[in-house]
Amino acid sequence: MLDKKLLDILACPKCKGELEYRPQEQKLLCWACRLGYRIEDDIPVMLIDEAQPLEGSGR
Amino acid sequence: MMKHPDIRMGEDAYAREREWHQGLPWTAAPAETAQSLWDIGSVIRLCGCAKGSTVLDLGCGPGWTSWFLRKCGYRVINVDISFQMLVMSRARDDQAPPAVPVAANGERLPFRANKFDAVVVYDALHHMPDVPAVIRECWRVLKPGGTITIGEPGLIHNLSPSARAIARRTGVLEKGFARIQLQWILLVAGFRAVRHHHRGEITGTRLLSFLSLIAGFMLEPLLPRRKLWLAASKPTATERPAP
Repeated sequence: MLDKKLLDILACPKCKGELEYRPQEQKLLCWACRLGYRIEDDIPVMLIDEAQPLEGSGR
Repeated sequence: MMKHPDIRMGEDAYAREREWHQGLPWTAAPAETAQSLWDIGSVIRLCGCAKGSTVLDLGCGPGWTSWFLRKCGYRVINVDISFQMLVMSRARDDQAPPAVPVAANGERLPFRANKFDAVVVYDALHHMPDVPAVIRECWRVLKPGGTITIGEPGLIHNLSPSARAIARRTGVLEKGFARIQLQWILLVAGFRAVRHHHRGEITGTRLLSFLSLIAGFMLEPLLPRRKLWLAASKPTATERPAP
């Protein structure tokens, strides 16, 4: 689980917009950029080059 | 999955220099250890925020700087482009609550605006390709009145035998900065009260700061390997000029 205070300040590195936290998938999603950032070993990897494109319409 | 070239470099550096990184600030050379301990003292002095402040340690590497920052009672967010460095920083973290690691590129920080009381960039800027972009991002994430502290090797760092050897071995980017160059980048990004410090010491008055700046400017060509220490503040709403 990610630190609650960290979640309050994290934003998408590309658009600086809001992220959706999905603990089961270990991912942080930005629906504006349609990018998914993985969380590995409780470390969010917030690198645009390593993000995965999102499919579907989200929430 | 495509990996950012800087991450490949960072992970390569990690693999090759693992033992050295893990030991920092303690190394086989006592003089090098003394320099690192002096440097962290300078970081803490220049950072100068209250206990409990939220500090971003940008380019934290193996995390020894944030270990000291947390000993001072700060809440630290560790950022590095290398995932392996963050794993290493967490492994040495024996304090509660631990520093919070985030893998990110300094040019595109994944934080909302106005969230940090201080940003520390120690011995890291000279590994980053687009320094003005990094400084702009630091300005954005700092709270009004927040401070940035920069500690960098001198003007001809990239020509030094040790930096050239590291660049050859690991492929990591090495640069040298002139003090005035970093001061200009800070001013253009919107920072004010840009202060230059000799050996990380705080000069007490405006006059002393001014004299230190002039002395630094005159001495720099003679001491190009001298470490650069800069601190600057993000203006508060009342300090900002009307648009």
